[in-house]
Amino acid sequence: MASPQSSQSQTPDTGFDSITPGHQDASACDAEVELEPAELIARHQNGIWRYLRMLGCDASTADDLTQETFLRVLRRDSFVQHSDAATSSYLRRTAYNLLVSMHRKQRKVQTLCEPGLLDEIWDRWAGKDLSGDTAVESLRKCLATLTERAQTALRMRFAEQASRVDIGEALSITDHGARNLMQRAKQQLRRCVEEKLWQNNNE
Amino acid sequence: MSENNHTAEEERAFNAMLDEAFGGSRPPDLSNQILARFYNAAPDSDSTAKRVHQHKPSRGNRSRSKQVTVVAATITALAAMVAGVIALQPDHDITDSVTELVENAEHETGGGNQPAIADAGHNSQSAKPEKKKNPKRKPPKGIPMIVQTPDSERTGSELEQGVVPDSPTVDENEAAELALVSAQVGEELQGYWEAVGINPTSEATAEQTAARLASALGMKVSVDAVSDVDQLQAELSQSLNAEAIARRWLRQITDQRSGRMDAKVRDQLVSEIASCIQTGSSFDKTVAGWLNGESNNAGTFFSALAAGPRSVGGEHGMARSLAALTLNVDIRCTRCHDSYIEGNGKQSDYWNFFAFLKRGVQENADGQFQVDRGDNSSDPVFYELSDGRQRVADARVSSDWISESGSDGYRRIKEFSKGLEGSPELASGIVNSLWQLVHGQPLRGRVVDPISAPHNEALQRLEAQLTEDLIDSRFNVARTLALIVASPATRRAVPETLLPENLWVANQEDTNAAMNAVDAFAAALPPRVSLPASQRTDQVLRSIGARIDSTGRESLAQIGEGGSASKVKKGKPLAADFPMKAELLPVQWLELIGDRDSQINHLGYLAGENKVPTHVQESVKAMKEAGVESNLLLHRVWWLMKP
Repeated sequence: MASPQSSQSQTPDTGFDSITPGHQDASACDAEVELEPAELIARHQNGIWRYLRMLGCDASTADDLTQETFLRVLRRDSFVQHSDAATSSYLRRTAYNLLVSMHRKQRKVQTLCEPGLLDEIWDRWAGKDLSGDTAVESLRKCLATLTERAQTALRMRFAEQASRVDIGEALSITDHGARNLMQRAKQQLRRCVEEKLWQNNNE
Repeated sequence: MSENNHTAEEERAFNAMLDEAFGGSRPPDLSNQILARFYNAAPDSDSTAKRVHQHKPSRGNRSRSKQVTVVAATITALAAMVAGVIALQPDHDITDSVTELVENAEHETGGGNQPAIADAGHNSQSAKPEKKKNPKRKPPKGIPMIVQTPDSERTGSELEQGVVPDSPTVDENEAAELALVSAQVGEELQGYWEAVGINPTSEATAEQTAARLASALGMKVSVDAVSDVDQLQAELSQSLNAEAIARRWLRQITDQRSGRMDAKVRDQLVSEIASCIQTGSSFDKTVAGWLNGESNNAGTFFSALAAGPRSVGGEHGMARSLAALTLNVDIRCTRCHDSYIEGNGKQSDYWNFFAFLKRGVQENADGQFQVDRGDNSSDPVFYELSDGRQRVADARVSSDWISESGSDGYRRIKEFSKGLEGSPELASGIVNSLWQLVHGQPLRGRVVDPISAPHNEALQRLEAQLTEDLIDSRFNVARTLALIVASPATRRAVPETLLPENLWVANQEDTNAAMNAVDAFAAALPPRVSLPASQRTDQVLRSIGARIDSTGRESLAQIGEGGSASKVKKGKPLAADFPMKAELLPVQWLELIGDRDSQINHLGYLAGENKVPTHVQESVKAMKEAGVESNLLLHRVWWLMKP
């Protein structure tokens, strides 16, 4: 029989080696007690929904696919919860595949990059707590550090879906100026969020 | 790479976070919806183990069953080969090796802990996980497909687990697997066609069926889902689809009258129905909530049932629609007299039910309805018997209409709503209503209707099967709708005779045979464009030369207006289903009614009208003046008014 530990070490990103409750061994130190469906959903739904949004889904599609993802996984007799991170990764992969299937059915041509790369991006921004809650909260705090003009530009862009021309007119600058302002603001936000996430991780 | 050396994906991820931080959409709590769907729907729809349980799979599932068989055979053959080789090696545990091989093969063919949609092409987990039994997880229902290996003890215990599910979420009343029920429905329908001696038409293409469904349900059904009941249920349950279906279904339940109510109010009701479809939650409880006034949408529901002008809706419209949905009872005839045709409806039952509703549901000065949850009395309701005598109604729901109500029926709306929960009457009302939504007529039609399926035991069994399944699934309407849509009736082609291009060359015998097949759901009608009343009237007038084009000008006046004939615009062709010839009456029982005006009135009652609308009366007058033959005139009247 193949050793479960050896296959786990080969696939740290998936980690699907089954650990039956009450049969945990020492090497599977990160294994946790298996969550009931309600707990599993509560634990991971925010993360899966945000992941789908990150893939470009609108809110309604993200709602649908989040539901489908959990249903598919919960209905699989062979699904085993090894660890939070592994379950999260498995759910994300299922969500990704569902989205690809949906695009195919709708004959939609939309390129999605490899799931491995998406996982990297996810881990960088939202994956610290598997839900993205910390990252969004950090982002909210970081917004306060921006100048008023930068905040106005981003608010117009994201809350009011204003065009760059409109933003430029509101701030008495050209549309190129508005673009540069927003780019700089976003760069500043990225640094700020990364810093906050790093602090959270080390606390 | 895009701006600032960030990939497009990274940019999109950060933008999604920014969108949320600026007050855009936040992750909703979907726990209730997911759990409701998880516990209500048949579990593990993609389990190969259950597919072998279908004794006669539907046509669409045959290829998948074949795949399963091939996979199972391959696994067995591989296992046997390798077992032979390994058995020759000394000191090797043959049992473990073969079991491992079988498990790995299962894993590669969809088992194991792989992301659930393997066909997306990214199931790239590099190493296969070890498979261990999880005692918490419920084994699939039915007979598990377990390849016989030398490890017979293990497979035996698994078989035993399969027979006795131990999950607390499963109750005794759980519905059978969706694909299995779907296959049984298909089989029953085929048996029905054989029994009534009707040859179904060939199968329409998946694209044609999908287009027809899109027109009926108001949503796009993917071509792949047409014959895959599991995929179909998943698609129907998606939020936007559920909303579109809920909108159409509400129109169906209210005999099209919900279209005449305030859009904002209607949307609340649509959302509640859509939520039931999406989550698979118990629709009987939703209906009970509307009836007993506990739901916030109780008043809205009654407003929808009574919407429209008095000639169509009002309290009588409400009574008709509510009796049809909740009790599967047709009370169109019994407002005026006992039912002569079907022989089981009494005028007293109609008026007792009407008085019951009048006492339980009251309309305030603003035209809003409220459920009276107390024990208040109301003014007596009088009605006139066919011999002219007056009688006072006894406000109650007849015990003939609902089996578990006791000999006296229900007298209070609260008791009635409680009695409906889980009742076969409500379930059959919903089944027939959903069938009508998809196929244009209820599964068990009424003898009085111009189009109804020939009734026999096979049809009765089919209705009972769908009704029982709806009860077993705890009134999961998305499941029932998926079963109806996936039935062979949905995939029938239009008979050659009924195609618009053959309308004038088809003989009456062929047309009758084709219409008999349509009646029995064994053939489809050509796509019908739903025309507004004004356009229907226009077509009737144009067909008799009373109007040349849609301007409404008389033909002689147009010629005399100084213009030449060439200036007259060529009128649009008449609708494909516009009656151009008729040998028989629309329904034969009209023969029993002496005068033509009364026949026309009765067609109005059949169409759910309280009286014949003005535009129809005007058309009748014009047709009489033009000398249109009597049977054809009645057909056209029905065409003008039919729902």
